[in-house]
Amino acid sequence: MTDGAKKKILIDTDPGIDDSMAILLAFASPEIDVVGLSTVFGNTGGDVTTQNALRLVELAGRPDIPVARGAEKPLLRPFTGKGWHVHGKNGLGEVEFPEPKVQPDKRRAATFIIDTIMANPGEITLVPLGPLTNVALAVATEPRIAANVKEVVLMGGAASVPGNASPVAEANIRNDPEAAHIVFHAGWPVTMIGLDVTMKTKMTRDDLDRLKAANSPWTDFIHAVTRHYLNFYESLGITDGMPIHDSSAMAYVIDPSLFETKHVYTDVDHQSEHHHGQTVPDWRGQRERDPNVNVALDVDSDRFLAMYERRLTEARP
Amino acid sequence: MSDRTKPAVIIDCDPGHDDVMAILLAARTLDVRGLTTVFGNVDLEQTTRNARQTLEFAQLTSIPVVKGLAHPLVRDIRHGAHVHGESGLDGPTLAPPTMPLGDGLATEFIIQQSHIVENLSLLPIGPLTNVAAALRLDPTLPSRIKEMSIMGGSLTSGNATPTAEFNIWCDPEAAHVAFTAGIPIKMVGLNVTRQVMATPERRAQIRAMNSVASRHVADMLDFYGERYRAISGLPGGAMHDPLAVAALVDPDIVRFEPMHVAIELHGAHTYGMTVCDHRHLPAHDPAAGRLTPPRDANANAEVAVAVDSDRFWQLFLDVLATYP
Repeated sequence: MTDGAKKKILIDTDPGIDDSMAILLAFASPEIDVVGLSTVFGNTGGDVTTQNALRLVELAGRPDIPVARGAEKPLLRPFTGKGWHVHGKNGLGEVEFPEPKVQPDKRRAATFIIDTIMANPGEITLVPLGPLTNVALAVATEPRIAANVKEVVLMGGAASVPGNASPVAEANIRNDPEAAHIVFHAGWPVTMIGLDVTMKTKMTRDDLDRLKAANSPWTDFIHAVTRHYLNFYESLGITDGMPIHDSSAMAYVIDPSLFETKHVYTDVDHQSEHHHGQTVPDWRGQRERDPNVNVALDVDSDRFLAMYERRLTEARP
Repeated sequence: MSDRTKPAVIIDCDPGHDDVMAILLAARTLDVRGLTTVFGNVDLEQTTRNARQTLEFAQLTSIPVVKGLAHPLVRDIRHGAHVHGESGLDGPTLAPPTMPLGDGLATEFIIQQSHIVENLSLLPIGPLTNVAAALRLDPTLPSRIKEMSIMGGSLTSGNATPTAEFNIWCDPEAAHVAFTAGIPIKMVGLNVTRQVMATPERRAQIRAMNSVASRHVADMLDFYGERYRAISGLPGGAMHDPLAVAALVDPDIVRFEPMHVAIELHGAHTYGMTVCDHRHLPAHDPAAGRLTPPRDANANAEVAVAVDSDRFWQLFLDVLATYP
């Protein structure tokens, strides 16, 4: 496959254990050309997610890929910082890694997103895997990116299932509901890969052991950082494996046929005291608005998990 | 050309008649590094056009104009064309603008200038959307901004709603970001700006200067004043925006008191209100025998409480007389 035929993606991310797994899936996929990472607070603070993103481009053998540091808190609200229960204080399951050698890009994330999309009109798939603060700032300050992006494929939201950060809200949306509101209504093609599908794709300890048997630096890394994540989900009573949330968004970018989706008008609640961050699809068309979001409703998780395992075990970084 | 002995400012504006008065006043009394434009009184294309037309008729085209945000951060867009006319600057006949627009985005311009200019201040006289976006784009920005003199809010009643002033009400979420940024703020609100009216007598004084600029200003203030009279029964248009400039030029024009200002983001009737804690209560301190109700002890703004209208007009007319 020539580079020209590859899908150019820009990943906005808060690594994050499942972020790291998604980013390594992208690097292991021949049809994907990762043109940059931008970082955001979320699973842990912005300092740490930036360091982790730099570690990931180094681990991938791609220190040439720019990593632009972004928002440290939501647009309006304080950052609650609750994600460390899931990801560990260092965002990587309390596994210690050396300091990255590469430096972040000089530009702020939103500027980097704008520059990258405007320099590649119609070509960039934007893949947000964390709170949508950077993406909202980018499209608010330069609305022309909406017409120049190829599409936005985000991990976040819950259309017809319960939330995880609140009874109704998924964590990425809950972390910055106002930003999500901006992104959902920016007039660009948005695909929402939410808990409806991500909770259906779980990896077991056996799956992760098979990955480790491939004996590559990438699968060693994944095995190491997921110990903490597995323990967290088991502590919730979820014993059939850990959902690999962010990898689902990457899987959609690689192969949309894995998913069943539906276009529907979807709002983000940002005003309710208790339910802010809920994604509200108008399934019956009662708001009489045009669909603005392509919502993922189902996934062929066996085929997806097989792809993940094949890609990561065959990749030779 | 810029005069480095005067305070350096960027005017973030949505012209608008009173924005023009602010620009004319500031260009002679402050070191204006640029105008950044925002939606507000009318849409962004029109406010940007009006900013360029203003600099052209006033022969101030060395000041760059950089376009900003066209839409509030979160809420739906509203305009104030009923006050300023469809063009936002109805009244005079102005030539279409020819001066070039500055490169890039207003937010980047503000951030970039903050690195170049020492002691840069901001003069936001429209919705605070550009300011908020710049603050969130670069969290280190507050450390490089000396202060913000904001036209917005009110210590008393509003104008867009019974409780909310128009600039704040256009983007209350952005105002919240600006007022919580930790930058020293002068809030020049309706409670003082409504006391400074461009009455028919003032407009006649201006027209009698008989310069190009004074004729345009008189035409603007006539239109604006008639709209004000029709809407509110007041004898002329309020000189809102230039008072935020005057506050940086002459400390004896506007009197301020420190207080905590919060922006109401949830009230059914008070959305966009500047909730000013001016109860003048000393902090609760049982050890000192002071059992006062809890309050926001930390002032985040100097809020305008009084204005010397005659002194403002003296300054404004003196400055206007210097224009061709």
